[in-house]
Amino acid sequence: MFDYRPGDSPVHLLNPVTKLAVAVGLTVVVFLLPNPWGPALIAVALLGVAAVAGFPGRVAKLAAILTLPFLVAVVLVQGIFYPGNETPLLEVGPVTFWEEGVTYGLLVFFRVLVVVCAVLIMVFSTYPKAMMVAFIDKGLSPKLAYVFMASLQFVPEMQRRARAIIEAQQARGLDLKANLWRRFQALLAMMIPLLAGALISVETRSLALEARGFSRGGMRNHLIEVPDRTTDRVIRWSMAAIVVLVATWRIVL
Amino acid sequence: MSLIEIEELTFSYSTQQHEPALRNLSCSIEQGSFVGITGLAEAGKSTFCRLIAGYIPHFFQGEFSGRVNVAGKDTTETTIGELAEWVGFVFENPFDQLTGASLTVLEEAAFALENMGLAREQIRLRAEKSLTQVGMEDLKDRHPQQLSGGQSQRLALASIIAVQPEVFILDEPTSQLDPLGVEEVFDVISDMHTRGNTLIVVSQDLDHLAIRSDRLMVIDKGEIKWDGEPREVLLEAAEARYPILIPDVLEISRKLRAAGRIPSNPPLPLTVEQAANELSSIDTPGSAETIAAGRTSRHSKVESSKELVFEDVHYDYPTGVSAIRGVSLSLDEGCVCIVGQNGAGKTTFAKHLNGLLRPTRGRVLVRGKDTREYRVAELAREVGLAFQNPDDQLFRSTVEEEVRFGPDNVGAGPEEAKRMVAFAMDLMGLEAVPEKKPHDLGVPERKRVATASVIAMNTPVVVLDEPTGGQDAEGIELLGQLVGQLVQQGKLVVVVTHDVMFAARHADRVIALYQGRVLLDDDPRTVFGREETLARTHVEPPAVTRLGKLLGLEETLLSPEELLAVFAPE
Amino acid sequence: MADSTSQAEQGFFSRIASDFTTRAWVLIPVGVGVNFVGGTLVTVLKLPIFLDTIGTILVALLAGPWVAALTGLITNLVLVVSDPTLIAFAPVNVAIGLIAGFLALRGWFKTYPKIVLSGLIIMLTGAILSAPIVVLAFAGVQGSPGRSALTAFFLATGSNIWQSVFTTSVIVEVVDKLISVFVAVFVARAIPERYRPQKAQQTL
Repeated sequence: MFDYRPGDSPVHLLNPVTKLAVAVGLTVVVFLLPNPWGPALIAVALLGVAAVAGFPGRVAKLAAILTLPFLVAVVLVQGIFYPGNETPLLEVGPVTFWEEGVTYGLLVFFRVLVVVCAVLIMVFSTYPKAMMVAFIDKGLSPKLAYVFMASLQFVPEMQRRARAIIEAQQARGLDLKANLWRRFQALLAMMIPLLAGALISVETRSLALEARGFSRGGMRNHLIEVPDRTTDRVIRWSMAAIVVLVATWRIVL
Repeated sequence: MSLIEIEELTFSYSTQQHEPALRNLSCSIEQGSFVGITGLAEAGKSTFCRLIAGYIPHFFQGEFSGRVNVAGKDTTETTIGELAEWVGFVFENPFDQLTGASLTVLEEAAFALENMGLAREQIRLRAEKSLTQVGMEDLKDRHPQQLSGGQSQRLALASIIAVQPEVFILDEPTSQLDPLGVEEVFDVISDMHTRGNTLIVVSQDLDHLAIRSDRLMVIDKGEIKWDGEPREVLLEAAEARYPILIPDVLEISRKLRAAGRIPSNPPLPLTVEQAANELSSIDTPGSAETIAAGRTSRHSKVESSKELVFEDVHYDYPTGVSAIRGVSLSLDEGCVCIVGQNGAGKTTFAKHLNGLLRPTRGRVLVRGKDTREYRVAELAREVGLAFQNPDDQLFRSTVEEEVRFGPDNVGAGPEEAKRMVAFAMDLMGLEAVPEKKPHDLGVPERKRVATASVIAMNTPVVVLDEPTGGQDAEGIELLGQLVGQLVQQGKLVVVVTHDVMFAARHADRVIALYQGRVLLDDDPRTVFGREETLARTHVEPPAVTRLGKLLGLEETLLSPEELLAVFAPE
Repeated sequence: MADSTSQAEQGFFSRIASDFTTRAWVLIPVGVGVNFVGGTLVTVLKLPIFLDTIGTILVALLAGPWVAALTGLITNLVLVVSDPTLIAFAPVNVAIGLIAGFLALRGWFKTYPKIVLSGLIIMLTGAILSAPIVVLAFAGVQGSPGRSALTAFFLATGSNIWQSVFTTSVIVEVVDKLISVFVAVFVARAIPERYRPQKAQQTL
């Protein structure tokens, strides 16, 4: 799991909705582009954005960890089996790699890379609560915003509980290295306490939320303010224009 | 008209229709009063609280008759949300009641205000002010999941204070906290009382509750058994030998009055200081020798085979935190209590006893076996460890099956397993509920089921982590008997606990941990005699021990009987 | 149990809305958490399955299709913080929630033969929906190296990419989904009645 890196770069100051719009826009664009060059250029540009935001190393490293295995697999699979393969590129023993397949593999890889980089930059540069507030300002239901935030935070808590359960059951003699059938049974010894415990806390939490006006209708306000500046609007409209342009170009040509 | 009025209320949960949780209960609570509520587990205390907050009947369904009025409103005709502006509620579990969606303490305190749609500046001001009131203004940027139990509970209070309700209900707010957390929370509660808030506090901790509240109620089987000035209620309960945790100082004073040693008209003491004041004026016919004579030497057994040996054990968590820093000791038999503040390394220590954690340096031998070379499941035949939270383990459909889980895992034969299961359920007072679903029981009973399942493994070493937490007087009594039985069978019982009274009564040896090292390690009388040293790890000796110290007695006292032997020898 | 609503005379959307009690809202993070933790547990127990949708299925049993669908969606949104590419599979998780929820409402988790069928239906739903995503967005390559190798094997034996991806998915998922539904049913049944949402009375 990775989280927010505080900062005050121009990227941090953008409205979270703008960052999401750019990420979505870029995703559409890279899937419209026909060859690897465009997506590759955009990926490089995104690294530049990460540098402006102050965390180029982190984005590069994580993007590499997340996408390099994919690069290898997709170039292998498509390089060998792409249906449009015509031009041999390289022969290794009985296996032939074809130019068309490798190019297609690279295209898909760069598309994925762009999406990964865009999302990473968005996650690193956006305070999660600000993201929620920005979306509520744009009309998202506060309850949906709540469950998203709560889910994000609940995951580590559940992991902690899962570890506590594993320890407690081992202390009662449950063997993690027993035969396969016993290990499948052990799944129940872990899942049931996990869910039962979670539901008990759900009871408390839903009462606590209810008592703090969670179901209340009417106006809400927020402790933090997430401004939507002119820059944000300019960026969003430009992104929309780019998407339309690329789409027109691809469809007309 | 009173702030809260309850008239002829009877309620039974739809899941337990035949057993009304409250029976024909009537009472009224005035503005500005501090009502303490106590009683045995499952007596109806929580039900009482839920009624006032409207959780019954709006969230928990069942058969409802009678009337509940809060600030002139009939609770059946409002919603939980509306009532929340009048009634604030703090739950037992410090972490479950946080929204789970806040990234800072300040955001958490502001949650209700955001929902109320106040202006941004107003939200900030009110949230900050309520954090200041609970003494957490310095922690406002901290992540709520990084708080201690006591801090978390104070945050829950702050987020309700921010709403400014008329009445605050706190249902067992300290039962899951360490002594430091208990103090913190009760300090805030006292402060709220002086500010004129109306408080209803449910607790088993009468040492803290009785002195602060101006009215004490004992609920028994869904009815109010006693209701009045705390001293009078406690006196009546004590005389009726009712099983609640009467503060030792009050009990001592009551007995000395009965023996004619002190006049019976002044109010009974509720604190160690008050008791010391009262007792300092009378002479001591019994002497230190009387105690020495009556003192049973429990720590005299011949050293047998070493059950557990720690050889210069160090443990660093993967995060780099050193939890154990050089512990060498051996544990043989009897009851060994491990005390110390949270973070002193108690739980880490306990997890080394059965190989759940292996030392990063040094070694731990369990009956001669190096824990680094065995699986936890194998060591479980030697050491049974019962964790604090029963909900981390219960998963079977009946209590009996649940208790059987341990013995089945360690390969006990059917006959042996059956015998041990019966023995363990009997010891833990579960013989009446073998067919019940573990989760249909209350927390104290669930905890006893988890303990029983470990006892039933019949291991030579038994480790209990915080067994008395959340138990009522009867539960604590059962655990005391359990420890006695196991020790008699020649087992080694290790109890990790904050409960110094339990340690004073049952331990043969007390080990105090401080910052991952052994601070003190001796028989309980010696350890609890070192009040200043213990203070470093936030352990306070039992009330009677402190009372003896205040009175200038030479010998360290461990029980009210010993003190009575000094002041009123038979 | 909360917000009791009269079942009579409601439109489609308000029926959906009536599923979303405060208890249901708070259940969603639990389902998301279970989806995550399922993976931890199978790693600890060294079991050859994923259990990465078991939380969605559980919520379907406890609170019906719509709450489960949202659980599925949020799971994949949250997954973004550990692997952004998984956002592409959100529709699959949503569909599993919906299908499992509707099956549950019609009593398809009540007898063992039906549970097996439910497991297979859920598995097929997943395989059918994930195939276009895997083929179009990831060129057939997704998941562990073993999974890619299996797809490559089918390609090598002459299947086209769609067949290969779909077959791989069925083979890899069938055991996982069958175990997921059984574990989910056992777990849901083991939950004490007082903590079960009202919907569960229809489904178990």
